[in-house]
Formats: sequence, C-alpha cells, structure tokens
Amino acid sequence: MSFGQVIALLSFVLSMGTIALTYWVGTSQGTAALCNPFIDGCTDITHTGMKGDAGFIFRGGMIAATAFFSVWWYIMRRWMQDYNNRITLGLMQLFGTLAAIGLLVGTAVLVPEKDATRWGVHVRGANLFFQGMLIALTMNYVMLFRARKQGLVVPSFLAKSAIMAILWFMFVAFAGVTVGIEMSHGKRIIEWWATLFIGLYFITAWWDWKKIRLAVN
Amino acid sequence: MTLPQRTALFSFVFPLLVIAVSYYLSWQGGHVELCNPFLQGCEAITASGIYYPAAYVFRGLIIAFVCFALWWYCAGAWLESVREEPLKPWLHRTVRIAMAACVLGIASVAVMGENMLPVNEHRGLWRFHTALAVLFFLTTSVCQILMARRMHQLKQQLDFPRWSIAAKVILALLQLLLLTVFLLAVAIGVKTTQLEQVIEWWLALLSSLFFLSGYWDWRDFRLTRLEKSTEVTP
Repeated sequence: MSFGQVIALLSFVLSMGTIALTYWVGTSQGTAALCNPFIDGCTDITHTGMKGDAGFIFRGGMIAATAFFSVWWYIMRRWMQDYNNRITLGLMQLFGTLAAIGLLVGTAVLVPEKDATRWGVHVRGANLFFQGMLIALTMNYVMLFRARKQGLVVPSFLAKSAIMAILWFMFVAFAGVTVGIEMSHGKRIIEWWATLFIGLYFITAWWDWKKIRLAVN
Repeated sequence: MTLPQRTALFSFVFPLLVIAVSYYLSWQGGHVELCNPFLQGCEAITASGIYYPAAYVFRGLIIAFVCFALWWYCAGAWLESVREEPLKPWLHRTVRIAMAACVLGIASVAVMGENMLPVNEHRGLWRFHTALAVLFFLTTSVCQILMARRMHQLKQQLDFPRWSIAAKVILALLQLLLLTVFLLAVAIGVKTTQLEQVIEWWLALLSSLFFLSGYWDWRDFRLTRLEKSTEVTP
C-alpha cells in the first residue's frame, strides 16, 4: 500500500468508522436513539457523539480524522500540480483544509451536557465543514475533469462523478446541508447521507494514488 | 518544504502551542498556578486540559498525536528509502508500536474535560487517562531511544549530517536518564508529585525536539510517483 493509499483509506475508515462505532456504542448505552438514521432520521450525527463513552469515541476519532483530511488535500494538490494552475489548486486546498478545521473546532466544543455545549461554535464549525467541503470537492472534480484531458489518469473518475451528482442533488433538492441545534428529520437524513458520500469521495483516491509514495529523490 | 519536513515541524510546534495556550487559559481561569513547570513541577500537563475553555484547545493535542504517528511512518519509510532495503523486523515493530502508542495518546486526551470532575466520582476515568498517558510517554521515549541507536549504528551508511544523529542520540540519552531517575525514585520510595510532573514536562519537550530533528533529515524525502518493484511498507 502506498502512502497516498494509506491516507485515502484512513480518511474514510477513521471518519466513517468513528461515526459507526459511536452510534453503536451510543445505542447500546441508551444515549442515542436506535433506528436506521439514513432512512428514519431519528437522530443527527452530533447528538450520537455527545454523551458517555460514545462522546469520547466521537471526539477522539473525528478530531483525528480531520488531520487526515488535511493531509488528503495536500496530496490531492501535489498529485494535480502538473495539470492545473497554482492559484486554483491553492484555493481548492484552502477550502478543503478550512472545512477540516471547521469540523475540528465544531467537534472539540462538544460536551455531554447539552445546555453547556457551545452550540453557536459547533453549528458554525459543522456548517463550515459541509459547505467548505462541497466547494472544495466541486473544484477538485472540475479540475480533475480538465486534467484528464491533459493526460492525468484518474481510475476513480466515474465513481467521483456519481458521488458529486448525488451530493449536488441533495444540496439543491434539500436546500443544502445545513446543521442546526435542532434539525428536522429530513435535514438529519441528508446530513447522514452527505457525510457518507463525502467519506466515499475520500476513499476513491485509493484507486488514483497507487503510485503516490514517500521516497528520497 | 516537503511533506515529511512539515510533519516534523508540526510535530514540534503544534503540541507546544496547544499546551502553552491551554496552560495560559487555565491559569487565567484560576485553575492552575503560574510557575515554571520544567523546574518547579507545580502542575501536570493534564491540569491545563480539564476546565473549559482550555479543554477545548487541549483537544487539539489529538491532531498532534496523529502527526506523531505520521512522523513514525515517515521515519520508517525514509530509512527503507535511503537504504533501499526493508527495515529490520525489530525496527519495523518499533515503528508500529510507536504508532500504536499515539493511538493511546489520542484516547487519553479524548476523555478529558470537566466530565472528569469531581475527581473522587470519576476515578475510573482518571485511571484510564493516566494509564494511557503514561504508556504513551514511556513507549514513545523507548522507541525514540531505539530509533536513535539504530541511526547511530547506520551513521556510516546514512548520508545526512552527523550533528543530526548526535542530536538524536543526546535527546535519547536525556530521555533515558529521566526515565531512570523516575524508576529509581519509585523503587526507593522518594517519588513525589513534583518530581513526576517535572519529568513529564521534560519528556514531552525532549520527545518533541526528537520529532523536530526529522526536519533536517528529510529535505530530499518527498511525495513521488516513483515505481517500486516490491511493496515495502512500515
């Protein structure tokens, strides 16, 4: 496994795995409502990761995942540097990294007591994640589309196309993925699906980055 | 600056910044004494990450632990790359154990906050945090000592500054000295909280400096699309 593949894999496994483990522990301990959140929307991701052991798992795993997201965007920029101009690549990486920082800050302020949580900070951080990531992924997709014409081989392009189509459909059809303190069932469902598809976009780099290694020149 | 260099630099600057800001916020909130913890041992590093808002900032150490894990990955990959051969099994294990210790560090920080108060009602949580933090420090120090020893053994073959190897060896010896002092103090029954806390702060600083030393080693170590004939990973 190359370094690039390690980062792509860990970005997906750490984020999605943390959410899955958090939800399992939360429902087992009675701190989260049990349902299929992708269909029922009985709870949002935030509330599954606030109380008890689930809260510890969520904070540790998601904050760690944001570090891998930042490295993922660094690698993506380097991988595409021969096919796109520096400024647009820099902007793409900036949005992606800001999104990761938003998630980091939004997660870091979560505490078990709902009333003691700094919801303003959390909501802004979570929204910065979703909207920043949507902008960064869109820029990435458009630049990859152009780069392919110049010869960059992107084995996962079809998968990325499907994921972007679904993300934009959700954004347009449901007026965006915006996190709030109390979210409607519909918004919760969209949050779960959007998070999953963002994670899937990260893992598609596994097929693209087989040759991205660390080596002495 | 290459990615490994950024990792080395970040592994030094970021945790020190997080701890400094957390300590300042905790002092401002009246939760810790203002002193020189490297000399007076008045507070443990943990003390700066209990009360909010300092605890929010302290959680940034989770990012630092990820960086440390990446540092170990880079160190193993770099040794393989310069020597063009796989790591010896014991060093391979050392790198993996060091990375696992970083996971323990993440877990030790993830439980921190005002949810640990009052102390007598959350002893289990405190034991969990303390055990994992101690394991992280001990394991990281031992792994850095072993890495320094291996680099010293390879100094003729490795084409990088002798001062860098010397610095690593010195940092490793200082950590070994501190660990020895700590174990002796425990063995003869003179361990005090202040001594423990002084050692903790110095171990944190010395291990961060060890991570920083990679910055000068990894100038030519970068992301590349080079093909490799064999899959060799730490």
